[in-house]
Amino acid sequence: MCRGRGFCRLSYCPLLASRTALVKLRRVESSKEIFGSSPPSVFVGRYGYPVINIGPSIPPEVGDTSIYDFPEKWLELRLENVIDYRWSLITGTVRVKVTDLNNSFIHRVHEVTLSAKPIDVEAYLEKPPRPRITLSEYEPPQGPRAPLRDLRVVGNPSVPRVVDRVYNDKYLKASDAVMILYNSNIPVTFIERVFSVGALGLWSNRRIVPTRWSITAVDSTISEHLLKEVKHYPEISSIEVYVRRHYDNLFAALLIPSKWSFEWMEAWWPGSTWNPGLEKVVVEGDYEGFCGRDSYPNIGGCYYASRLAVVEHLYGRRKQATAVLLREIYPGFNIPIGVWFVRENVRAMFREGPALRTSDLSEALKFISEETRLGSRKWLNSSRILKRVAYIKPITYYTNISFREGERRSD
Amino acid sequence: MRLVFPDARVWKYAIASISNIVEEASFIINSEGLRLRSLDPSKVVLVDYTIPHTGFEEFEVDGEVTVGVNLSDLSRVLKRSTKSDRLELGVMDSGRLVVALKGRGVRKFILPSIQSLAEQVPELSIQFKARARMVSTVFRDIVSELEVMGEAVEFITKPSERALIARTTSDLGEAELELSEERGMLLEFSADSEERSSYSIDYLSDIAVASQAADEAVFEYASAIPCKIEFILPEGGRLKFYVAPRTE
Repeated sequence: MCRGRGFCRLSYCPLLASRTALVKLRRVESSKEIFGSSPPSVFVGRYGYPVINIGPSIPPEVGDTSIYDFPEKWLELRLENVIDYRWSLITGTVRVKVTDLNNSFIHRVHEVTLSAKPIDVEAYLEKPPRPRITLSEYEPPQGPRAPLRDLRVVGNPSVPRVVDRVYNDKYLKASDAVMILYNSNIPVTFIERVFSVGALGLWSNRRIVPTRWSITAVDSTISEHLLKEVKHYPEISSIEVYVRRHYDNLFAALLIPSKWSFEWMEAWWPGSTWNPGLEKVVVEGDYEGFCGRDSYPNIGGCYYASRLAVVEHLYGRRKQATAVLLREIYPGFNIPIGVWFVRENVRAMFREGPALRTSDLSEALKFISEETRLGSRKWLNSSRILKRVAYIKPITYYTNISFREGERRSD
Repeated sequence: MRLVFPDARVWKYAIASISNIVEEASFIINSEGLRLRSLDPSKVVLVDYTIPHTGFEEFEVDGEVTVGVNLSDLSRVLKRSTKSDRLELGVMDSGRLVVALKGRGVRKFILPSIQSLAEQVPELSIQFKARARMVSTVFRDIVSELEVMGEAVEFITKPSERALIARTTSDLGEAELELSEERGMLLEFSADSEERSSYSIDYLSDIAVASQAADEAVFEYASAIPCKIEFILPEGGRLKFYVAPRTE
């Protein structure tokens, strides 16, 4: 018997995680009324768009439940706890059209979502939530769901002043509102939640945004905004390599002295979440040059989550660089957990500081070979940007640089 | 300053392609004409866009004028142009660029001026050893067909067969195109020796957008040195891109 000693070789113990969640959920097994403090948390589905499911998520607990939906703090926790939190949230959903914001139910959802602190909520469900929890390859771990009949907000929402201001400003564009909140130190996941319930933007354009899309929209908007500044900063002075290991995941970053460009690559080992096969490691990635990209990256939302973390780092240092980020996902990590995991790990990796500084690319690649399982050769062959840096000499190498009068720009 | 160019669509495609490569650059307008030269931020591509003063229907400039612009903003404006539009460029006292599209009605756009740092633009004096002249859309086709398969194009000359081979290899497989005068793909080809060089397809793909602005394109290269793609634009205009090679 394993008794939680990790015989299954997974990064977390599925038995412990589900057992803790089930004990909590058993309290509401046969009840159609749920009373609890929403962290706050809300779920907006994407199936059937523009008619979608939306509703608050509530754990069957009262008190400070904020940790149930606070990804910025989850990195310090054991993976079992995070999974337990996700499984313990009961979501009562109602089907509405994304533009149907003048609906009293949506107003109550706004009341819950805009609160910075957990808020007591009574949810009356059409049928009792079955304390069954799913662990699917494709969906993030989810707690029970049931159609919602009515929702009562019992507690008083504590809405930060700046959130209240942008919520009530009906002439403020959503992207400007996002930046005001971000610059006021509102956590990114809070902004994503507020964005998803249609609480931001020009009044006539406001709509409910599926959770998955809102995460990417906010990550992308903030990093795009910061990038406008970063692209004017001086380049870093040497190659920097960062490495971080966390629960069967390895994150690595190469910052190279050059103008801004970015690449995010993932190598999925057989048996990990998105590579359930048994044969070979699958490497995927997407990139952008200085001018950005005009299509959605195939690799998905983690591209923007990781880009935000890099841009925040460069913005903080007032520097620019070419950034190549790598992630290796080993077989023990077979749970889709959400893009917060990427964003927070990359942020943490940069906080820890560089593991190597060098002016020699081959030394940096040698270091990557030592640190990664895939090895620098395969990473290099999979990377568009690393190949550019390693194999293309600047065009100035082929010529004598000369100034011609009149070709200097006027300042 | 007041410049009038007879076909706004030439600018539409030329600037669309340049804006893929360079984000901000300056136009220099003097008695010779208009010129934009810039290096891309990764320093792999050099762009050189020129239109002689004779190419403009109207050309009024005092001394030399330099206008810095954000090229993606300019491209967004030029995308509004249609078949019969003429393009008028002017500069306000504040240094802002005025772009007017004149066809059915006049649409005027004012773009903010960009002040950027002095840029080192190299003078290139490269001896190319192979030259291929083609209808400009052939260049676009080469890139789009090889793009499906790989990420770098290797050009190889076969002087004995008077042919240019463009090929790519990747994990997905290999693709190869043979271009020659005989098969009608090239208008003109010259090479005395076997030349072999690879260029990143990302850049070529951005450059190929300009093929819609031109009638003909000239591709020149030699082993392990930059290549030059020159689009022959109407009214004596030239759009040249120099791309550094990939050497593994």
